Amino acid sequence: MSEADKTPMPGDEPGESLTAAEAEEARAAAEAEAGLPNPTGHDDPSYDAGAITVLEGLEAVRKRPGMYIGSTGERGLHHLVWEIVDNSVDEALAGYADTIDVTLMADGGVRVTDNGRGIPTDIHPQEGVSAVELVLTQLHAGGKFGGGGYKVSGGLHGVGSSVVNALSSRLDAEVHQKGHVFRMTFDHGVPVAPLAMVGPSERTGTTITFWASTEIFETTHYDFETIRARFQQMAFLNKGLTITLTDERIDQDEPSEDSDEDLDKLDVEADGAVVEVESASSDGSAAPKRQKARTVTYRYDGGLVDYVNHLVGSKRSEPVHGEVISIESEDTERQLTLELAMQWTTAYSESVHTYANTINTHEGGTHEEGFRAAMTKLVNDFARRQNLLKDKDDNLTGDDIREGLVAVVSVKLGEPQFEGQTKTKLGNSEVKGFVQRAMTEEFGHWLEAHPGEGKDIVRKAIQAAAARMAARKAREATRRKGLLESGGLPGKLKDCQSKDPSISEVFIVEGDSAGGSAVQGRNPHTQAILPIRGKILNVEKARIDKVLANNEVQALISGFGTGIGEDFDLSRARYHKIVIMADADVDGMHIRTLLLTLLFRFMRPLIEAGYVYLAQPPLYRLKWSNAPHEFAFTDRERDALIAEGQSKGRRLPKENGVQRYKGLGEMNYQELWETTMDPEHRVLLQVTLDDAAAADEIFSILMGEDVESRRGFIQRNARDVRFLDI
Amino acid sequence: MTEQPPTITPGDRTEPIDLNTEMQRSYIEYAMSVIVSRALPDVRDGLKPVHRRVIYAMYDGGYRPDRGYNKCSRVVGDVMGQYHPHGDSAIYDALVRLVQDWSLRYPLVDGQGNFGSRGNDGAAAPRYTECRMAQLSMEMVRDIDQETVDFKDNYDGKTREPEVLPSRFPNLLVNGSAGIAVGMATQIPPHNLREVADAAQWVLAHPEAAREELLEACMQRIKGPDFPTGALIMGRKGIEDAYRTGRGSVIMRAVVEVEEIHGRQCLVVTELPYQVNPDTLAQKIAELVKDAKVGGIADIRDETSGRTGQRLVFVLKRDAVA
Repeated sequence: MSEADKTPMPGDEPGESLTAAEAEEARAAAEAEAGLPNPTGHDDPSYDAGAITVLEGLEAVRKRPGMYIGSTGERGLHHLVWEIVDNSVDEALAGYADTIDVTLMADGGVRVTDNGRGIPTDIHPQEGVSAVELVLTQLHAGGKFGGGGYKVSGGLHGVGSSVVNALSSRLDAEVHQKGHVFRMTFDHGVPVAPLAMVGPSERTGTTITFWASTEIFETTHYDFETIRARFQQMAFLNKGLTITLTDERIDQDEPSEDSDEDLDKLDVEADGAVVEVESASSDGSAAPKRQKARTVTYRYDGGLVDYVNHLVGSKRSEPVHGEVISIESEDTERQLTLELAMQWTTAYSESVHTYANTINTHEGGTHEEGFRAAMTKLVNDFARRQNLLKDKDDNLTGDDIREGLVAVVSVKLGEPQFEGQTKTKLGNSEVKGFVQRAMTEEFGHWLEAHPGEGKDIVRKAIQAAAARMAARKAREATRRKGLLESGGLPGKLKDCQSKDPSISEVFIVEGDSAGGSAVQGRNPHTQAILPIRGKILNVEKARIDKVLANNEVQALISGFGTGIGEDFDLSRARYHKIVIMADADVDGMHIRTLLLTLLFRFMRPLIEAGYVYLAQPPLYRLKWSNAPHEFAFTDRERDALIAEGQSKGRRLPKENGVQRYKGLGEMNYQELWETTMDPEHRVLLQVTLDDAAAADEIFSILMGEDVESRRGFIQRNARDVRFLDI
Repeated sequence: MTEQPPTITPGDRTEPIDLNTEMQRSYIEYAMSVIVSRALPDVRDGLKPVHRRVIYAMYDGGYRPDRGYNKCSRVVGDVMGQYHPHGDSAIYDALVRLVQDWSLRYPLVDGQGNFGSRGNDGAAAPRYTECRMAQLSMEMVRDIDQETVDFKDNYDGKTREPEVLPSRFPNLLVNGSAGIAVGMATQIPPHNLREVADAAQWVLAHPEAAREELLEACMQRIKGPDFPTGALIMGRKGIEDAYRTGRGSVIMRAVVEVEEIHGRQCLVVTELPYQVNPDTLAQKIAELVKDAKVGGIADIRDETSGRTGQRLVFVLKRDAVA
């Protein structure tokens, strides 16, 4: 197990160990201050040098957990698991570990065990404490800052094990090394006792068990599916690594036995025999709902090839050529390695996923640039040599060539530099040339060796180019038509007065019934209304020229003003809030999924920029007969309001006292404004895109051609339904 | 506005929601609703919710077989207002199907007026057509007031509706059902009422029978599907598969006679497989003739009428042999 941080910060001091008493005091102080207004606010009269606090070591972590792990919500909580597991993965990357076991324990703890070298147990020459204690209590202590520790490392998410320790109410570390077992326990980040040798051992490795602090985290419930998906990805990216996840928790919310088994079967089918999935009986403690512990084990000896097979399997579109193309290359001098697997499918969308040191680089970067550049050139050269492209033909564009491509590009390098808004864009310039050279050599050879399959790939790209031309014509047609009618805006759009996109909002409403209410209820200064009729085309199942021929889609695209695909320009967005306001019934939900599919597939930057929102119309109206009416947005809120109201002596009429809204058209326009559209009162849900690869897969499953995987999804999730329509 | 001005829970908030979470949640609710309460029939009464509501609303509203006909628009209005908060055309389409004796082996609604044809002609508008319950439908609802089935609140809680009809006969087998939901679909052919009743009686008389024995006895009594439109079933393998495993395809062939009309040899189709649309079929064959994929056909005429029955006539060329 390795440890700690690899992002040195300026002004990083050689910290000193806190004694237990000091740390306890610091923690108490931090807790006392938490929740108070900023103590260094600018109008505070006592603001002098004494008011400047220097947060020491782990206290700083507890005080501002967001700085280190992003949030104290679910995402931050899972971050703790990633942090510890990434350290084990680093040990695997370095070639010392091949098995990682993770257990979600019934009492809320998480246990991570690997069979690596184990954290060094000897006393650190300068600090005078054991290295185990050092890495678990000091920020920026670790084996990744140079010297014989690690060549490459994954987890660049935060600051390592010490942060996990700081945010846990308890943490146990157990190290098997040099024939002994060493153990150490921490309470809120403070060592209970120094590292102790507790017995003999024949193996090596590290086990970290931690209990996330309920005082810091809003929730301490780990989501099995989130963790499972991530570990599967890790197993794909680290060929031969075995990751086992066991869930010993007994939870009312878990799906039933049956659906568990369905899930398990599905995994086995999708990924082949390498994956073992089993449900092991736990120690027989009588649990009413689920008496078995869930265990999944992932190990992919094919690595990225298995990953691509898995991705293609989830899309279930036909592969264009038989075998997954696999490329591996290494530059020992500059410590760069490339692994790449790809396959073309008959799908219309591209799904290229890139990783640097196993971190998902959503925003791409130099490795993706190199990959694309080489790909475009190679395929065009090949097409010309094979006479599939004639002299007078234009070159195929990169987008044409990558239509239907499923690829995973993974590079590993010594000193990764990340850029971009979310630090998920690789910036190392040397990587581009390296990837490009490797691609040219290996993929070039592949094309020469497989001319038949190469031709199939080119034909697919030529079809895509033809569709692109057709789509452009269709687009131009919509534009030209627009010039004659009201400045290119769809006839149904009721635009707002403001031309400033940053304050303008557009509400997409379902049907003319709701459109009428929305138009009357809106604030015409900033709010525009775009009614769409019925259910729009499912763009996941249609090719782009068909999509663009659809009237509703045209209205949406020209209404937003950004264009789509290669024409897309975020700066031309006419509204910075695109609010989907569908009815609160199941067909409304369907329409919502269809609209999100359109936005995700054709205007994804709108989602990434946070311009897409969901309106929250109320579900119920409580018609008090002796008090003003109230609105409730959830069942729970309704029940609470009824209880509260009745305790205050309000009465509900016997007949139809609680109205369940099914359509927006049922509301008067004033009600719609007050509950759903008025910025003073409404609640908007901002759609965020956390994991594009996962979203890609989900859209394929839910909206794509493959019925089998859709049925699997429904069977697994049937229990989670919030309400059923009648 | 007639209501008092409502107070509102204060909001002014933006909360993040992950695209994946939202997609999964919305989709599963849509999918489950379509599966559970829209596109698939209940095994107990063989009805989808819209059909159940039509029959119950007709029973409740007094549109019974021993009384006169009423305008379909009244029925549609009753169903929509009381039980089924969806579009009126969806309800009317469902009602029309219950009348058509080529869609249902045993129609559950008795219609008066134009309820369309097997081809592309639709029914007349609901303001023209009239309907009442068919005699058989009374068996679907008999003893419904004797606490035979559970009732639940309707969509706005103002009245109650049955969760399922007490159905004295296994309507799912008798009238069959077809539906495409999300991720799953069903297709059950209609059967002969006498055969099904016979089998049902045997089952009731032999409660101890093992599964295999029961299956054999039923298959002995129920020979196969019984389609309202006749035509021939080719081979018994598909039927056996379907009865034994729930999955099997029944291959059907039209009934064709050779006639001489005005000195020309003609093929006359008098029975078409269930749910084959003669207009679409004629168009498709005409296309094949035009593309020279099928030869020997000089003309295609649809001579179907209420008096002569189904007659799709293919006039052959002089050199063609029937």
